[in-house]
Amino acid sequence: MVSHENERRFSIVPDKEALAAVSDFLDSCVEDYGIPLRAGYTLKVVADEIMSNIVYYSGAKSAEILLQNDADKVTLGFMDDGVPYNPMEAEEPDLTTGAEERSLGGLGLLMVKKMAEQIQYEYADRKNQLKVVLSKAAKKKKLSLEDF
Amino acid sequence: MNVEKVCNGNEMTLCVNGRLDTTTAPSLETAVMEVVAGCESLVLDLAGLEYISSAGLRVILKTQKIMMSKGGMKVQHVNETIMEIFEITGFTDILTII
Repeated sequence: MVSHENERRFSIVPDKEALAAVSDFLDSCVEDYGIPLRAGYTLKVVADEIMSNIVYYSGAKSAEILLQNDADKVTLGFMDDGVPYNPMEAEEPDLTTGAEERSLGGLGLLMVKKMAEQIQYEYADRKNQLKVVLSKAAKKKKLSLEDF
Repeated sequence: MNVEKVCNGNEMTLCVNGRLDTTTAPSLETAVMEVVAGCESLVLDLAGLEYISSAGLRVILKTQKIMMSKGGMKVQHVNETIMEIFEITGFTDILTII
């Protein structure tokens, strides 16, 4: 396997200790690559949500994370051997309902969908393969009258 | 993650410091359950909150539901990144953020 300078892989058994280990792995990537603060935070939120689903619901025995660092973006790849599951097809929570009715489920995946530039999923070689692209750009400022 | 409790008459302030994720969210839930019977209203102070995932959001939502049947809940000192999460998930509509 060819190893690239801007790429890191992390293989893990998806048990409850895995979430902390994944967080540590991402912390070291953020530090070593000098990934900006906001993108670093987004990376961890996305990984936390996806890995939690893998750990608690997929029945997977093995998982792998790939982080690819580019000038303007970071790509996170997730691979697991659990049940076939496409998070993009998960039902979104109804955000128009108040706290009384608001479903507790689906919030994590909603966060991933909203934070990502691009998400790709395929089930191949009997593995779930998910790719999430995150921009490194700083958050766009909300414009106000003073800007004009 | 740690939770500091500050009692002001019938209002309890919980200062949440550190990360609210799958591992630490249950501790916040425990802290809430410990104080909720003895207070009429609740303030969540998030000045020290560094990170929140959906597990943390669920505890906050659960707390909001409990406090809605009493004197209500306010959330204060939300930093920009956490506020963005609240906006994405629609929590800005549900929570009273001051």
